[in-house]
Amino acid sequence: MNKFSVPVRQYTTKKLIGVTEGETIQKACQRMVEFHIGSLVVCNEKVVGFFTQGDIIERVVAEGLPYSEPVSKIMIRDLITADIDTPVYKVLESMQQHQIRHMLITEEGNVIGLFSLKDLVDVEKQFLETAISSE
Amino acid sequence: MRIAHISDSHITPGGEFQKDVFSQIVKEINTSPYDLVVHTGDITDTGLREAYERSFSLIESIKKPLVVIPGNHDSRNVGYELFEEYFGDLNGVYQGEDYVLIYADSSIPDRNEGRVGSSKFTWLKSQLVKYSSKKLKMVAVHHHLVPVPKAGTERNVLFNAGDLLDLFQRYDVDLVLSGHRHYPNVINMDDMIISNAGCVSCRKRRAGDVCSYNQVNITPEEITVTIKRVNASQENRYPRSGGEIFISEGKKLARIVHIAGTFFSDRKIFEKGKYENAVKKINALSPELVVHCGDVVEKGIPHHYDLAQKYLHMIEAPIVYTPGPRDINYIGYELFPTVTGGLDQDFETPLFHVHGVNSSQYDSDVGSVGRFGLQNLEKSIKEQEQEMSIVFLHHNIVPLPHIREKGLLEDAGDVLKSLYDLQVDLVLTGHSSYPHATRFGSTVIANANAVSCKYIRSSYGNSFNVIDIYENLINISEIHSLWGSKRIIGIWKRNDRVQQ
Repeated sequence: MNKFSVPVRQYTTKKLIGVTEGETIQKACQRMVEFHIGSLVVCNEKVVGFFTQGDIIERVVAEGLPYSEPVSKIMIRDLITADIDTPVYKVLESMQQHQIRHMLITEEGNVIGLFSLKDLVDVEKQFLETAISSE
Repeated sequence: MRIAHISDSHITPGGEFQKDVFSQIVKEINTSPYDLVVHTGDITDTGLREAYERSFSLIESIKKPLVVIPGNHDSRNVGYELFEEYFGDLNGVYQGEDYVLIYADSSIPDRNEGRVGSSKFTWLKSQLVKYSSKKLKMVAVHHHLVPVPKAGTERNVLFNAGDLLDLFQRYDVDLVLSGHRHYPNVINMDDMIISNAGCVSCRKRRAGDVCSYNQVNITPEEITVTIKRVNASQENRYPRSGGEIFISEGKKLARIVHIAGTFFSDRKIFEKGKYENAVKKINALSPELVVHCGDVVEKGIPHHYDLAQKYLHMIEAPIVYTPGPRDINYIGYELFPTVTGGLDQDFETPLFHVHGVNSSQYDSDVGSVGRFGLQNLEKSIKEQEQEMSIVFLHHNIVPLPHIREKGLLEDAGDVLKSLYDLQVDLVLTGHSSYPHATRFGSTVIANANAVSCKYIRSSYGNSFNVIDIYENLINISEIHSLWGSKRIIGIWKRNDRVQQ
């Protein structure tokens, strides 16, 4: 079994940190610092947006946007997603095509998790760990 | 879907088998709307041909779709060959449109303990990959994966239970079915429900219990497991959920740093640079408390405790300690209390009460809280005035990935059940040098990696945990001892008891 042929489910973070649409950019950034994370989902009952540290630099700092603006002003609304049973290599292909480092993961159409390039390091670790766990 | 989960019938000519009870329960199953019956092993008592012949004719009286898996008794006397002859595959898959049940033989011939070895582990994983998209995923093995209460000195008898639990959680397995210990128990590990059936028709019951089986009802919204004893029923309901999004953590109430395995020594096994960097980070985090879960020194000798005194003074926050076995060996049983303040230490704030329990024994690797120790702990938890209760000890109370049974408390099943029932908020342990955190019921159980010892089991390297308690959630992150890099290893909503 190729390590990248397994469903992305195995490497998906199924607990996400989020903010509401009306939250200020500064408050959202404080949450990213508090939890030491590089992205946030934006929720309005369901997930309606997403943004990363890169988006903050590009759309807020570089543009000189006030930190008191709501996150709805900078979030990405056209969400790029992959189903939780998509093989890891296909998710990576899609991330490459879209030039993104985070992929929102869905199950039955609802966003339920996140897969990031950083998780690739864990893929390598898992490979080693599975070998160790075998008796 | 409704499943009758039976186990440990121990059918044999004569012996401990109770035919009248078996027939009564089979009649109840046959006349109830069950979609499936799963027998999680020890069908026979001896694995002998006459036992298999008798078992086959009796099991035939179950008039429902049936999955039967072998237990350790079925494999005795090379009975695993007869199992295939009478009941079919030892490992396999049973599936419907929306569900799958993957079952595996965990027996080791002529031994009571169990194992899912290398090739079978890989096969199990391949089946979970294949059936990943099924709405309901179930796994059945004979040996229990999580310690059960009333198990005496038998802990978790599946060697690599921690690896299996980790695999099942990654693949969102909904339900795990097992038997073996002749005592029914149901527990939830985050969203995964673990149903352990008692014995359906065997006299060898524990704690004066009666025969029983588990009724499992599954809907899209919840899983209900009812322990159906011949004289009473006990229902356990668990909501089913997918991912979780945390929008509001509320005010931060407390920060605790959780460490283990400082391993102060004059040998290079103690990584001084990592310890000093970790201390800088710990002091910068300004925790209210540091909880040290043992293996303070490499050996319980004066020179190592001299080093401990020198290095522990570098930590600015108050510290509470519990010893690992190496802390109390040689003359450590005198030095540990002198240097750290005692074997069973407590700490209180207006928010929480931290209860320390010594699980180590002199000149022994076996960890135990003991019946007397557990009674004292229960009393202390019940009498505390704070809303949050935190327990810390050295040995593990649940299996961890890459760790075998030796790190588990001898009485892990009883301790886990007690802390689960008391809805203790947080249990901190420090054996096995592997960072891990999960939640059983409303109890978060976290293990700390070694902070500055060369013996590690995590490819991430040495680390310690920082636990942030907010009004609405608990977040546990691992911080690398050398680099200070941080990653979340668990995040949970605060339990209902606290939110009321």
